[in-house]
Amino acid sequence: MDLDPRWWLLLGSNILLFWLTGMVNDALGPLGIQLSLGALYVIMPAVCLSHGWGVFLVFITGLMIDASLPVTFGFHAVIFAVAITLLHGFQPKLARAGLGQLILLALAFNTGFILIEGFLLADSLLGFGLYWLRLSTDILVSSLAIGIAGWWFFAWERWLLLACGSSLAAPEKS
Amino acid sequence: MALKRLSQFKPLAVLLVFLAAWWIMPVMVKRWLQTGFYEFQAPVITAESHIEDLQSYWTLRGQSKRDMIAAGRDLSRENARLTVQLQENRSLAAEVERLESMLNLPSSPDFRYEVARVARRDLSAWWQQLIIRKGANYDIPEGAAVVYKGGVVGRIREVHAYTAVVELVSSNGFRMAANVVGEERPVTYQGMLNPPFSLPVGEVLNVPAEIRASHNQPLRLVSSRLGGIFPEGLTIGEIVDLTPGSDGFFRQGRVLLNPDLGSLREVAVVIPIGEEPADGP
Repeated sequence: MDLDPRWWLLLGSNILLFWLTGMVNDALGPLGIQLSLGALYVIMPAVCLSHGWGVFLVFITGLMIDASLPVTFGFHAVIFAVAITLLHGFQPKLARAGLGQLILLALAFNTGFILIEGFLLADSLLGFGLYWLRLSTDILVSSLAIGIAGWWFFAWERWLLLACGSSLAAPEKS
Repeated sequence: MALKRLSQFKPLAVLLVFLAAWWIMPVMVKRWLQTGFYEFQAPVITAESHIEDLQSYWTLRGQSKRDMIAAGRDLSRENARLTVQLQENRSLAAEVERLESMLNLPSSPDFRYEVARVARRDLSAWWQQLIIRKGANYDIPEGAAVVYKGGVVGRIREVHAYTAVVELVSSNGFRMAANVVGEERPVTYQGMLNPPFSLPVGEVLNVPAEIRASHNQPLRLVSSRLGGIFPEGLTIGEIVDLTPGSDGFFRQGRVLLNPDLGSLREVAVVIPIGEEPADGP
């Protein structure tokens, strides 16, 4: 089972995005808002990679996110792995999709991720109106960011794959 | 046909095998992986913070000599003032020691302060934490108090090789013993959810019923020695309202924390003297 070279390129892109998001959140922290761009880590691996390698890639990305957070180690990794499995069923359609369609998909998945985190991490906060206000603000800001950063990130990933001589096509199923 | 139908479930089977492998993985391996993933990121976070320092340095280099001379003059005045205060503190400490020995009182704990730069902030709805640029390499202990010139910052949650993670006082679930200034009886402070675009807030519980506070007459909430890790009398925030609690005996209310808490550049870790890890074998 050979490792698809695109795996490394997409992993590098995810690390780059994770680092940039951390820097932006560092600056946004005092305002009481947080960017969460989880869907961007998942979409392109779902488009290009075989299911097994895709799960492995997003799982590693999730572990990287979890490493410094006070959550169960593997929390984001499991969510991402489930998401890429869901997306894998639509891989042929995703491979033909344009950037705009991928961004719309990212918007939907990102909102889903924040809501799932919201429910799973809420603990005693679930009944507080302020908690949902805060989550709604985070969803709104993250959606705006996906509209901008998502465009750049998907274009970057596509350019990187093509520049390195790889194709965007999904691997053929055996 | 049946094989084709079965192959549709292959991704689900792969996912289940993957997740099962993760769940049965020994905790020690997971812990090792977590440390590995964290330490992989740490140099980038630290480098990013050093670049920010360099940026500040070059910004300062661009300032006029006149401004720098004025800043130097102000600093030397501040130094002179602090030197006098240091002498005063030494004589007060000697006096406290003399009284303690005279009255056979247990001596109050001594601390040393380890100043550290803030490398990264992560302030979400679920957690509020800082990463500082000192860790096990400076003998930072887990659970140590973290303070700054405005008062309490939080406590050390995790210590890594060259960095440490600080849980902020504004973090939901953070709890510590506190005192209302001028009151002997201890109260409980706890962090709470911070709404968007607003100042950091916390909550005070178990306040005696006769104590009153309002926006016009706020009460200062300070750290208590009962907390164990915090030196006594450090500002936590200001109590701006108090309402009767559900039990009817005590009151509870909102605490406005210092707005600087979200934009700190430097903090000090309070390390109790005598509890530091011993050097080598």
